Amino acid sequence: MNAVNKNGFQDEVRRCVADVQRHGVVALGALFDLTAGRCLRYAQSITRNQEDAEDALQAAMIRITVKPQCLAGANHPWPYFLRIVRNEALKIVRRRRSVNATAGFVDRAVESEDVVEKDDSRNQIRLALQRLPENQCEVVILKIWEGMTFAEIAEVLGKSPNTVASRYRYAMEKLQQQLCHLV
Amino acid sequence: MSAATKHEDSPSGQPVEAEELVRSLGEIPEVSPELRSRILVAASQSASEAKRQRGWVIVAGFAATCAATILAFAFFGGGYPGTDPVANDNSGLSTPSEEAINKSLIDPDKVISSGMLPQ
Repeated sequence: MNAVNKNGFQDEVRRCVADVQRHGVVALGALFDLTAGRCLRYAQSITRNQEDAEDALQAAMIRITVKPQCLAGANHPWPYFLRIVRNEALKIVRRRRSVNATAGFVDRAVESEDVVEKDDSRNQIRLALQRLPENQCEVVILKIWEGMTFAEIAEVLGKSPNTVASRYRYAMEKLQQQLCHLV
Repeated sequence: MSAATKHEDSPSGQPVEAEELVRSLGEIPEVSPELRSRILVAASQSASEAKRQRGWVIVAGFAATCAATILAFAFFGGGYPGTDPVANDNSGLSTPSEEAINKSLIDPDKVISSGMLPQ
């Protein structure tokens, strides 16, 4: 996402959030249409699972509908929005981990599916991303797919920009090693 | 400038190829109409539920205030301790003596004999 598009998108998010605050749930559709795909993509990077990502998106939308003033009052609504999505996704991941731990079940479904089609380069990239530690993977996604600066990512994650930048560097080194035969 | 910050400013470093590969994968996923309607309905229900709860909180607060006021009146008899106007008369006026009170009373015999009241 280039700088102009990014700023335009963030302005649009701000406008939609203001509408939700003014008109309530009837204005939520516009915010949903604008952000749902991106939120889903980000949530999926945390949950590693389509259904859980959808649940995280739903929980985030409900939180925004019930308390729109929190998002409307934020200096940077889009990073704040992603932070809400992240918190909801992490809640779901924690809940799932505790359930899996009690059942003695290890979720390898996504990985095993990808092993079947390992020849496909897209799947190799996807697999390389999934192999990254979660905290590095989400930095890569926010940086490359969302086009955010390290300062904005730091706002989403609640970490310092230097920590975020280090995670990005480590992640890219690992990706470079894993994908060297593709580049 | 730290190495991390330097990387952001100069994206032409070694990891750029991997960056391009990851970027090629970053298409925004389609959101199905079913998911859209499911989430909007859930959000709408939550919003009305939250509104209803806020209404109940206001009603409960009002009821609690009324109950507290009624109890206070029942317990203190319409006044609070230390607010009895006779016991706490700080007006500076002296209480009239019994003799003065008796003098001021109208003699009922005189009133009857004057014809003001029927005998």
